[in-house]
Amino acid sequence: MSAEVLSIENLRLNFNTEQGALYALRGVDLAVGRNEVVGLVGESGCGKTVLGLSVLGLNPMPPAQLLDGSRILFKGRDIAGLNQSELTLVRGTGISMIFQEPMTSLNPVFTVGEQIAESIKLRLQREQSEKSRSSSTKVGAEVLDALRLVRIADPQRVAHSYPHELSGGMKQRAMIAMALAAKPLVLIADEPTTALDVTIQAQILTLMRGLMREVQTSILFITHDLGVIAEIADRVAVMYAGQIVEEANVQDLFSNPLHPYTQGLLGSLPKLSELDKEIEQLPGSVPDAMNPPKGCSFHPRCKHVTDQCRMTTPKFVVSGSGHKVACHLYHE
Amino acid sequence: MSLLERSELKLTGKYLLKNKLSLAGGMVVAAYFVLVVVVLLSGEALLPYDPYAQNFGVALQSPGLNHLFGTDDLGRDIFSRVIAGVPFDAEIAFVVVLVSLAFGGTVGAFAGYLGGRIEEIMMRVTDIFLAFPALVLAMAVAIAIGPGLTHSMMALLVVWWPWYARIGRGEALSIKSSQYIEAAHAAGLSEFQVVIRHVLPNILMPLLVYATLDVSNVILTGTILSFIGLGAQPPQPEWGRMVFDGQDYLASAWWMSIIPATAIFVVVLAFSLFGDGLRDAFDPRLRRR
Amino acid sequence: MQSLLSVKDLVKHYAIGEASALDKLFGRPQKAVHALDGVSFDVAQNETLGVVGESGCGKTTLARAVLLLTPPTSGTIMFEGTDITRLPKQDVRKLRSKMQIIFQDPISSLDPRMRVRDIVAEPLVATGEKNRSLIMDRVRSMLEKVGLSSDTMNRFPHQFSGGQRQRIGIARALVCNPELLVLDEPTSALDASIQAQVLSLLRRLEKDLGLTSIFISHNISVVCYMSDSIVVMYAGEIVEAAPTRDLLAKPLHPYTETLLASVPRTDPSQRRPEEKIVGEQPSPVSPPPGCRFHPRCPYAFEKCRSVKPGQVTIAADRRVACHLFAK
Repeated sequence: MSAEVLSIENLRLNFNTEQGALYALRGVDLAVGRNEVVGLVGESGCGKTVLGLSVLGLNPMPPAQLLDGSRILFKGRDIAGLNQSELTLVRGTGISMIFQEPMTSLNPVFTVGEQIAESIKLRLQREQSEKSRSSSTKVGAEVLDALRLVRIADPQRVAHSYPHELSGGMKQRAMIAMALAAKPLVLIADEPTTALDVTIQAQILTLMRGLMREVQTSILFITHDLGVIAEIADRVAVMYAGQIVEEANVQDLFSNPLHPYTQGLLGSLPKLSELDKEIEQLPGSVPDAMNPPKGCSFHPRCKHVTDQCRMTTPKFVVSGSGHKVACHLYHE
Repeated sequence: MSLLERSELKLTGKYLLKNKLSLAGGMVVAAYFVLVVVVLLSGEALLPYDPYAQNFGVALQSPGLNHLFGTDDLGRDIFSRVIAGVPFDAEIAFVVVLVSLAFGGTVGAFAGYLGGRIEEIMMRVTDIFLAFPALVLAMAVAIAIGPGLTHSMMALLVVWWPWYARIGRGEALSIKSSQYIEAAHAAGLSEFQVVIRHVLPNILMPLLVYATLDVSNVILTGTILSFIGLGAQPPQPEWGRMVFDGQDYLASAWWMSIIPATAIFVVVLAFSLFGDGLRDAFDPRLRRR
Repeated sequence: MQSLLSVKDLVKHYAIGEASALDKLFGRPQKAVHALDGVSFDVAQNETLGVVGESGCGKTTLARAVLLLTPPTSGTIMFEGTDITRLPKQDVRKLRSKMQIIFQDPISSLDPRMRVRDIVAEPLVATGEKNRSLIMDRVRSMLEKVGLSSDTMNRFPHQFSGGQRQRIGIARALVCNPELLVLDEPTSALDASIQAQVLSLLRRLEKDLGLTSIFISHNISVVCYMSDSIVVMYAGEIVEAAPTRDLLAKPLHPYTETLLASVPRTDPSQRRPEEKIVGEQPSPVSPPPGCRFHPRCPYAFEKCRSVKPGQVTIAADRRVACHLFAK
């Protein structure tokens, strides 16, 4: 039984706009265990990116507002209500984050080596109780180690390069190196491969899978791509309209999807092995975040909808293997 | 009105309201408009005195109950003259700005969009115009074609359109690579049709915002032209001319110059503040989006 | 079957900067981006040809070149048996009603200040049709065909969702009843569930209207689902061409193999072990000599590094550009 490194409990977050409140997260419970890859999957507007940013308090507040009762437990401590300076201590040391567009996340006026070194120096400062400055050779060696860790063949050259001199795949590797150089317990990856070509994506996913064996870091992997989830995740949570609707280990989710939304999502993807099959269409579109439907948020699009669905929000039903689903179809 | 237009107006309105100076400016501008229309429509019927009537018996009287703004050296009521003079600069300003916007904006849009030699030639031409301060150039033209209000308007027209051409070109350049322009090509439209149907409507807004700010500049330049004798000719009660006429009496009858000068100042300031607020209301909102 | 579109040796180079005096003196060729370097293919009537490749392979340039939205550097394009490559501008414009395009980005491909009815009507207006009510009738019927009610006509693009905007783009492309439809990543910007709706719509329309299409995407699953036959592009060239089933059953070119192997499967039990996929796309300004894929190819041998492979005909409808298959 792996202990939980990060536990999100009843996370509720609104965005207060001039036109009204946007209910971005409506009570999310999610846990990430030690050395585990948790996949968070959903379409645009479901709140998955907001959730990732919430862990590190990166949503601009205002207009974002965390509602009472929301807890984010990290190393036994609730970090949900921390202010910016307290959060800075958590970011980059306990929890790191990488984003979709490495171009905008890497500072264009510093070399890759300098940026990785920054992250290493911060970590060393906190690890050592005295304010002794770590020797630059030590830091330099660690930078090269970090680059080798992400399978960069020529770490010296890359360390001295500026971001714009590197290709998309290289930049993303550099980002991962930077994030891991801080030796975090949890890495939050928000669509890290979405902007990459599919062959480069395959390389990065292979890299990340390999890294899981080497470093003691758990990953919260956020994406809209179910195929990527199947490649990398141990456990999967499916999000819809600010809530998690299904959660299971990756085998169970793909072989036996329970929630109609998950089923629809899987069915809507063309599969190379089944080209003759007509892809399923989910009617309608994602609900307005300012006006989510009453009862189950998915009911307007669900082919199994009943009156109960229109009135009551379904609670989670858990099966033996830990497969959770929030749907009235599965209540006793 | 579409939802977009309605919500745009609502947000613009909200923002302008927050900016009280702009609002004050806007109110003066509105009053100015009203005055222009009233004076044009009613002629001199509403004025206390005939702005052209000379009366040496009451010459150089300081402002008082009989003559709100006093009288000038020929005994004419300055208040009536100031009011009567409202349409002169207003007319010039609006004609110059509108024509410059229409002509300059269109020329600039075509140049920016078509590029190549046409753009080169147009940019060099506008560069020549823009190299001189507008006032100096307008003076040169005015001297060449002779004095008079209509001539000063023509001089201003000649000098003013290149600014709009430049803006039009810049805006057209930024739109040029939009995908809906490419779609218009793919639909089979000619270059001319693309500019008319897609480029011009999309550059109109930034041009209008600039134009509002610009009105104050034209009014000021117009009054200066009259001040140096190239615009309005006596006895026309144009404000710039009136300031000139009162120069010799600054010590003894300051109201002859100072009152019309203040009028110019108030109107130009009002347009400036209002235009500033308008520009702010559009820009950050666009950025926020 | 007669080819509606026949493209031979299409080349498109984009010059970079100005040729320096020194370059001119020494007769050095000007630096250019080799977007397309000799592409040839045919599209048969009523067929959907899929074009698949990653970023920089030239597929977007191909879409524009085939429709003469950008002038080719060299090569021939035959449409309905006529050579259209060097047609004067006015004649090209007359052709437009017969060949239309659907763009990737539903937001920027629609003029934000135009009403939907005017956007969809545009290709008709461009043909010189003046009868306003006739135009609006066609617009209305086209919008209904793509699943949008007629009260969308007076609204503006920003009032619609991404999927709906893409439908508007489809209606616009089809309003003139074109013979050829080019789809440039039509669903890449849409969510999976909306993508499914749009793809199903496109399949139905292609069948009902007897369209001939070129479906371009980086997503191979989607391309295979929508196309009868496929060409695979890499670094500005076509490396393999085959009917969809044959390509999937037995990919020949090492890049096709790599591409298919990289596609994430929605089956966790099929996770692949460490891949032999290495390297990245070559620079489009100075592509490697010989076969452009050789730096990343697990089967590369001496000849690959210096000699460019020609197109080898495997069967009537299969070609591959690889030394492994040369006679």
